[in-house]
Amino acid sequence: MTPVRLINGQRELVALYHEPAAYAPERRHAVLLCNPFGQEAIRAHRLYRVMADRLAAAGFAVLRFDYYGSGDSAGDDDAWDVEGSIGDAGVALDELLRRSHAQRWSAAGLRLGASIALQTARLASRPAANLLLIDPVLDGRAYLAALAAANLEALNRAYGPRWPACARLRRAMLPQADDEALGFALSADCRAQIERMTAAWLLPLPAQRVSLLVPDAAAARRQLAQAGVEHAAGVSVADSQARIDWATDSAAATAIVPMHWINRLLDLLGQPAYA
Amino acid sequence: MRETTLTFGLHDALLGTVSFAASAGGATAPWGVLLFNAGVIHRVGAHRTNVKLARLLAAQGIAALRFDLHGMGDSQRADGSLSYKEQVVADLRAAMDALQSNTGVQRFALVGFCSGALPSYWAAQADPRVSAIVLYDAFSYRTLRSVLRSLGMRLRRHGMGPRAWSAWLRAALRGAHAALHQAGKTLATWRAVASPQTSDDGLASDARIDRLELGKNLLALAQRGTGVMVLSAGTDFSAVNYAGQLRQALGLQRQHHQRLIFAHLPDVDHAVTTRAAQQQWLSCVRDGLLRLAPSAAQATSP
Repeated sequence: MTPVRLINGQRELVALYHEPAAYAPERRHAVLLCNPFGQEAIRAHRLYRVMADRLAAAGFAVLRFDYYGSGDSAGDDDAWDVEGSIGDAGVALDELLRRSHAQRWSAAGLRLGASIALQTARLASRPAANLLLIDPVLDGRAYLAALAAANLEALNRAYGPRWPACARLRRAMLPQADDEALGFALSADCRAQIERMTAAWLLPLPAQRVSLLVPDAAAARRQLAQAGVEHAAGVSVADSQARIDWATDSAAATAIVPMHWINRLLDLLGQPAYA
Repeated sequence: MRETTLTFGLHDALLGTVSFAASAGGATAPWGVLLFNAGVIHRVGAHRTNVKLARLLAAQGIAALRFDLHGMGDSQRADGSLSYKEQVVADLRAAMDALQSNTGVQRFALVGFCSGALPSYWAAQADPRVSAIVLYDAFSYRTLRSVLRSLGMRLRRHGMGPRAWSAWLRAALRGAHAALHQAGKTLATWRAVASPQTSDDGLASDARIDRLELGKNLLALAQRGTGVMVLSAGTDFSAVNYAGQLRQALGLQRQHHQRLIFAHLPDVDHAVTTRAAQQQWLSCVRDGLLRLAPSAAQATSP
């Protein structure tokens, strides 16, 4: 694992490059991992780390990175937004392909990271082989509403009886509820970008194969059908077989790594058409 | 402000990011700050507070290294040859070496957030280069006053109606069960101890500290010249809910030393969740670190 600093204009980013293991079969296939937003990215850090290690051990070159205004990268929280992150992911992809000399590339992303991976593939000069979208945001408005509810739930849980009982505390600690989610800023522009997200974002498909791993496959299929995506060639939907609340800080001592998701990604990448 | 991400330590197994002190127009401090994991959260800290604190300090001329302990975040697993306590102290020493070789600082302040508090305390006892430690929300020793304040808050919230009585009954049963459980443990170990608020049961053997012994040791560190800041959050009032509670619980209410500071943030929750809470926490920790900074002579003495 090699720390890498990336420059996207005025934006300095921190990335970690995982070289393919020397003992693994040569694949010439690179995988870009795209983080989700805010607290979800903190919670998913271990998943991404293990995913990268396993992929590298299987012979894939991997790059994971923090968007500007997130994680270890430069920028304040309120500088983070989806469109900027898509640009950052493009720079990260270029660096991954430059370092790895890979002939093919794929990407994976959780929640908003799925949306960012999708758009990055759409803007890339070279088509992606495979996209694994884990619990993707298929309805931006619903996602924002869920984040707002998770924020209030977290504060009620943290402060217990004080939160409902003390108006002064609520005014002091959360003056503008819409402007943040679980401690991370959500600017008006950023919220607008998220609100525009729907299942139609999947079209036109920017990869040979787009695999969705979702906690409720029936609901996801309905959303895809409404957007006319359900029967698009190359799209598959599978049950994630795990209901994980990524937007919470209630389990700060718990690292979550559903290994069957990683195995699924390895299976997808290892299929003959893409290996 | 300039930052670099690097690997360091034996076999380059540890990974962290150095924030270099901004020097334009001002002197840089001859001491630096180490920031590391809280629970399983990687080096950026809860709600990215380590990143924010590092940059706040860098702007004031103080270098910082935020890093992952062995087995955490992006660092490698430990080989298992050391106990947890020995390993985290070794990691903190390796981080001091790395910050020293990258910036030239020779003295260090350690910010222990929750489960990071005990490693900071252990490192301060083991390594004379540690000039200050911040122990954030790691201890929850109750006093009669804190228990009454906590009960008062619940009374204010739930009132005295039937639902409240039901809630009180459930709480009383839970309390009785916990008291019986604790009594059993106390009998089993045959000595009265209080457990700090750590996030890993596996640490229990290392983490069990008598509160009065802890108080004496913190005072001894201060008398030796190592600054100590014990910082608590109000959260839901169930643990620490007034300034002075921990000083009292640690048996230090009559012991005052300029290098031993107790601070309480009544409106902040344990994980510093909201952005307003983060601002209060950052200001408080920065001010505490500046107050406990070693003198220039101390900072450069061998």
